[in-house]
Amino acid sequence: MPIIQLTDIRKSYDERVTVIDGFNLAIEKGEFVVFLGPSGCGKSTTLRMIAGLEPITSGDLFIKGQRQNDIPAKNRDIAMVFQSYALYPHMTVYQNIGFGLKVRKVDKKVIREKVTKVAEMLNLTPYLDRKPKDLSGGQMQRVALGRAIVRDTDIFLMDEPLSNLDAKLRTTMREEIVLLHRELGATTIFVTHDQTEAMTMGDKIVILDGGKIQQVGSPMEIYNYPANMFVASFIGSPAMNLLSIEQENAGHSLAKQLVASSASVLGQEGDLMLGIRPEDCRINSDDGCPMEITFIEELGADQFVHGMVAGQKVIVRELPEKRYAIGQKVHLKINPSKISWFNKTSGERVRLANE
Amino acid sequence: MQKANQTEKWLLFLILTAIGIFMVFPMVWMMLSSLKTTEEVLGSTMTLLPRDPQWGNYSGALELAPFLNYIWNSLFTATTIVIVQLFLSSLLAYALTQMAFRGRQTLFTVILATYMLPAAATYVPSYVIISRMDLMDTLAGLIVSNLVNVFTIFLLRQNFLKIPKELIEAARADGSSEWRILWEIVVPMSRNALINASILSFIGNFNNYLWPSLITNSEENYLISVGLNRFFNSQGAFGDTFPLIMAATVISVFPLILIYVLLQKHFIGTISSGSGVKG
Amino acid sequence: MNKKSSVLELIVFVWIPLIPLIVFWIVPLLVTVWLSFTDWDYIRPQFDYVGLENYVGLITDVAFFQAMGNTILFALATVIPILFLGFIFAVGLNRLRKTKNIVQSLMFAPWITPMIGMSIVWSWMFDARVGPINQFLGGLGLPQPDWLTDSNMAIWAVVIVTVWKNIGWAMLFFSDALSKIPSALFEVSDVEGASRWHRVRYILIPLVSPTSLFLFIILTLDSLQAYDQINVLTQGGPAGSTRTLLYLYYELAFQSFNMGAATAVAVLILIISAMLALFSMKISKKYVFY
Repeated sequence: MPIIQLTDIRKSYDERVTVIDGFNLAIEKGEFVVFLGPSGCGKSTTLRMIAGLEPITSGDLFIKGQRQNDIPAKNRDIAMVFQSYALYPHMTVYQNIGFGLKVRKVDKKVIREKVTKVAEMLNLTPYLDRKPKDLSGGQMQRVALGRAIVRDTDIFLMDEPLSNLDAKLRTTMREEIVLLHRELGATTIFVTHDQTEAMTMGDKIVILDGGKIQQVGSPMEIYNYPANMFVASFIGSPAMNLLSIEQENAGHSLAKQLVASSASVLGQEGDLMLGIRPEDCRINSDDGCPMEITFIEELGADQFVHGMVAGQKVIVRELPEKRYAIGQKVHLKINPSKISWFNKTSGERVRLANE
Repeated sequence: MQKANQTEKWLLFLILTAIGIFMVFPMVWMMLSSLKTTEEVLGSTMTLLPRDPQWGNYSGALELAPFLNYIWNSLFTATTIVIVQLFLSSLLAYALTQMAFRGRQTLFTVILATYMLPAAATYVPSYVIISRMDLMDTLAGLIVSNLVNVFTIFLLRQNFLKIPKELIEAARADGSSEWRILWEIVVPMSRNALINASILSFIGNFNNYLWPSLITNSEENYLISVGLNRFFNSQGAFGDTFPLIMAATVISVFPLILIYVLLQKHFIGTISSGSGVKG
Repeated sequence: MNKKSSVLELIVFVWIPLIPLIVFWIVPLLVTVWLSFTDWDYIRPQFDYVGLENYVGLITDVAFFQAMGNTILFALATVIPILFLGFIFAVGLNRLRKTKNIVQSLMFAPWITPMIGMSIVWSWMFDARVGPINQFLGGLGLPQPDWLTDSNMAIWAVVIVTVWKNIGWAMLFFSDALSKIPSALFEVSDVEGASRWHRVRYILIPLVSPTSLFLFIILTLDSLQAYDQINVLTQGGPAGSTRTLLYLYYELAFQSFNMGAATAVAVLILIISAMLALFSMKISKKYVFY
């Protein structure tokens, strides 16, 4: 049985504005699930509903088989880490971490044991007597984590905990969090708007946009088989190339030029979008679709060549050793097995026979 | 903050409103009593509303003592005092925050210390000083002796500290005098603090009693609280003229209530914006 | 960097504004202290230096100790309820949304009224026979004390009026401080299992402690200077039960014209105020969290 089950969850304010709709998700014990999406997509709101900080308008939330809709946050046995860390400014690190235990009337000696253990785990021992204002961002983050860990719950909810850290620290903390997750064997739901974070940390990614789930899957699944154009362009940096293939005129020939056997797809009604990632493209001198180079990004280990193909922008990832020039006329070749077809109007993925 | 559920919210609302009503009850009672007859007020049974509103009580009160004059005196002195206070306090607050001179910190500490002093401790000598200046029993004397307001200096100082240094330095680099910087840059940026300070000071000076009662003894110079108390004492406690006393009290309370209702936002805002709690 | 100020600037910005302060505060203060060592009676221009006689006279006067006791009682009986109730009301008010402004306006209204005027109203409300308070109490079958004429009750009447006037003021300050606490703190304490009591004790109270300290100082200093309501309600009586040190000063200076003793009382009030300030600094180190 999944440890967390959300069925048909809907959230609206004042019966007018609906921010989450038709949310269905099952989370298994021990999974590291990432809620990913742009600002305002509803990921934090959903997390807060699971935590009990926001009321659920309709639908059911089950944790460990029990319906939680009407159970207050303090009785849900979950731990939460906030984006702003929410450390108590007037308490020391020790007191911050131990507060949840103190409030549940745990014996002082036991508190001391647990807090010291957690502090060691997170390298916070030298800071136990400091107040939050004397800590760095990373240290505060770890205190927030410590506070969650010390409670020995099975479920961790994290609301963009790394967003306030600088890039380098963020990368370090990502690793630490995943290692902690494994060590503790907890189930974690992690909210972020950063797709790199989601890809590197999650077992399962739930992509949201406009309050609706766009896709649920493992990082590789989502990367290789995006369910719609939103997901396709959200994941991956640089974004997936999306080329419009219209029914009549040059469109089809573009597809024909790019893909040898695309007959089955081109027979579809409606206009299509061809999605292909930069790393699945190659530049040829003579074979493929004509392309004029407009811009080159040299990043050391990678090279991204921007160009125009039949009036549409394309980015190609090439080996750094190859030399190109702006204005140069070349040809584009793509890997047919890596193409994602989308219906241009609905944005949905067109599933081929073998998918 | 966890939102209270519906019943809790209603209960809370009721309790707090009940308390709110209790807080304004004396004022409401005052107004109702001013419209009653003496028998209704002093009678053995308590009646809530007057049977027949005695608006004549107000003109009656005005005949017995020139309350409107008193109100004018209060308005005039309070307004003048506030204006001068703002002027002087702005100068001082500017000096304390933007100018460098020896003893600046000491000066601030001294000013802070005067806040702790009971004003009454200064009354005896101040009384002599006023009479030596030949300002006894004059509104001018009242005004002159009330020009200090440490709270205003605090509020303004708090605010001036928040003005970005670059603005001042740029103005100085342009050759602007300190006087111009104060009045053309700093003061316009501190409008809220100035309004808040004036409201607080105005209320205090309008309602002032002890000091004015000591240095004014002709009726024409009474401030409203002084005039009212004299009237109250002269009528004997709860004699026949009680409703008139209530009418007179309403007159004394009314101007401020009016201002309060009109400027509510500013009154409440007085507390919130930079009230200098850190002291 | 501020450039060193010129003499003209110092005159305009510092010395001129300081004139009222010096003339009507500093000089009178020094004169008051000096006068406390004389026996001046205001009527005759001559007087003698009497050293500490005035102070000794006070210390051996029962009325003085009574006033001292009344002052302390009055201070505690007003400041503590004002802080307590102001805080509670602010906490309650914080949970309202749409109706917050109306209730706030009602609760703050007493503060802007003139104390003299409202004390006149209260003096009638406290009237033992016909005042609404006793009528209300009588209606509920409760005892109806002689508020203003019983020397045990009078001080409480004055306390009630003072608390009534100032609760709104304290409540607004607390309300403002509460609104500045980030809501995430409440949410996280919620998730951690804190009850409402825990929240108040471990979060609200510590985080509003700077406001509490500020209000404590201001309210106590105010209570030391309370005059208007005593003048109207009880004039220091009955039997000196509502005579505070300040009222004693007023009586000595402007009724008995015993300037020496009056100024000695004033100096003592000054010393108490100063001690209060120091005391507040000390406890702020331990109990106030910035």
